[in-house]
Amino acid sequence: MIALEHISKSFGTKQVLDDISLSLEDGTSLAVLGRSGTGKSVLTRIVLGLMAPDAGRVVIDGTPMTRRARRAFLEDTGVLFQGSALFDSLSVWENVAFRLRNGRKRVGRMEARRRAEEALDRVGLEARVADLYPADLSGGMQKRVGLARAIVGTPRYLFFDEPNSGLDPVTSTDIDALIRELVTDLGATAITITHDMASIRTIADEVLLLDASRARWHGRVSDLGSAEDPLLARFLAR
Amino acid sequence: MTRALLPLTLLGRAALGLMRRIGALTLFFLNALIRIPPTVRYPRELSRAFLQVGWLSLPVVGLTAVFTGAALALQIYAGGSRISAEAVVPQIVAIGIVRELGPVMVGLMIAARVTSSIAAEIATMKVSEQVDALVTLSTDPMTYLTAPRVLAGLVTVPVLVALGDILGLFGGFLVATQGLGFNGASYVNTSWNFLAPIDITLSLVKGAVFGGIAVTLACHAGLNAGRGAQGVGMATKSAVQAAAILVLAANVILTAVFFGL
Repeated sequence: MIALEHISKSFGTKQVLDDISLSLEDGTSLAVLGRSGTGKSVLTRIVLGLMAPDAGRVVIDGTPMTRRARRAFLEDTGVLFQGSALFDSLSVWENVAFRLRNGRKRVGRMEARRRAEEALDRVGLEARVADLYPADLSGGMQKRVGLARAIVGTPRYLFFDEPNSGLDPVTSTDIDALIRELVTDLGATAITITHDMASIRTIADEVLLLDASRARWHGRVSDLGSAEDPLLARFLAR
Repeated sequence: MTRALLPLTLLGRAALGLMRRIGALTLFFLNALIRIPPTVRYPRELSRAFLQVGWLSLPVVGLTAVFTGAALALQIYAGGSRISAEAVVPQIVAIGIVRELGPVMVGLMIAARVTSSIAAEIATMKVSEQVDALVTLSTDPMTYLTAPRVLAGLVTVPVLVALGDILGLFGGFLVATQGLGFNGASYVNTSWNFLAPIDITLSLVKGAVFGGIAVTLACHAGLNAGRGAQGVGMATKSAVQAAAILVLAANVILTAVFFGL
């Protein structure tokens, strides 16, 4: 379970997050929604330990996020970055197998490649893509490779940062369906940052709406229709 | 605060800023040093770093050294002829190249070629979230990105300096024997006999220090780059500028220390 307890964060005089608390049960998929600059990415970065909060703490399975706990948490976490963040100097399969080749639980080169190709197959990419480099791929394919890298260690936690940004509607729908399928198959706890309501309906169980540095609305996707929040209504109207 | 104190205040602020920067860079370098042993886990990154810093710098270092040695021989000959001291060309070229011009030219070439490429590469990785991706993949960016490059800087730049020295001496030899009428065998003997072990030691130590400076500044600037293309540009520019200035400053300090001045 991921719990955020009274998280606050400022940059200079600008308060980005103010007293955010949240509890996410295992196997739940949460979508974080909000206008640009409302701290969605900052919140995710804090959960991942890429940024320290000014106040509050992150608790994973009842353990506060210390350095050691963070290391264990990241071993069990897959992340799809907004721009995919693939390593240019490595081939596709080396990107996917990065954790298997460099992480704590290492496997041999052949085994790493086999598992990378398995993950690529799972995200709908053929084995021939494995030896290409990220620069040879389209944006949609890069997202798929990023997804394959995120799931290759069968993580318990998955993070997706705007998985549809820069993609055409068809590819976007495919990626959403893929994310939902992977989250369900792995039984992972997932957090997705997105602006896209169609995406949210496909991939999320719960929605957190951030606005003016506060958690404005938090509830189940099935309750979205009956929510009376005007900002949420504007998102839904899109 | 009175107006009269304003320059003093500004000077104080600048001095404190400089000290803070030097402190941060020193800590960064020490952090990289203690991460050198774990880099054996990343043989591919190590070999890339050695290739990038050492092997690929050879052509530019070699050519610069040859031309510098040749020009130095001509200058010494022309200057020496004013006081009928043309014969000192082998000695002055040897000491000038090995003690001073070889390491400084290599240091500046490394600052221009390697510092810029490493700073731009790591800054691009930073702004495209590849550095964050490394962290989430349980990999320490200091161990994976910085330590191999710092090790490569410390090891390969002295080698480049040694080669630069040899090629610089060869440039001088070529001009002296082909254009200035020196005897080849006696030129080589005079040069070799004139050089002391401390000259060669100083040259190699300078190489290691300059390599460490150039690569550390590059990695530090890259990992602390701001956002977007502008962030990459700023990181690269500041790293190259700082590396060039620090190489020249370190050169003065090392020379003074070695010769007890």
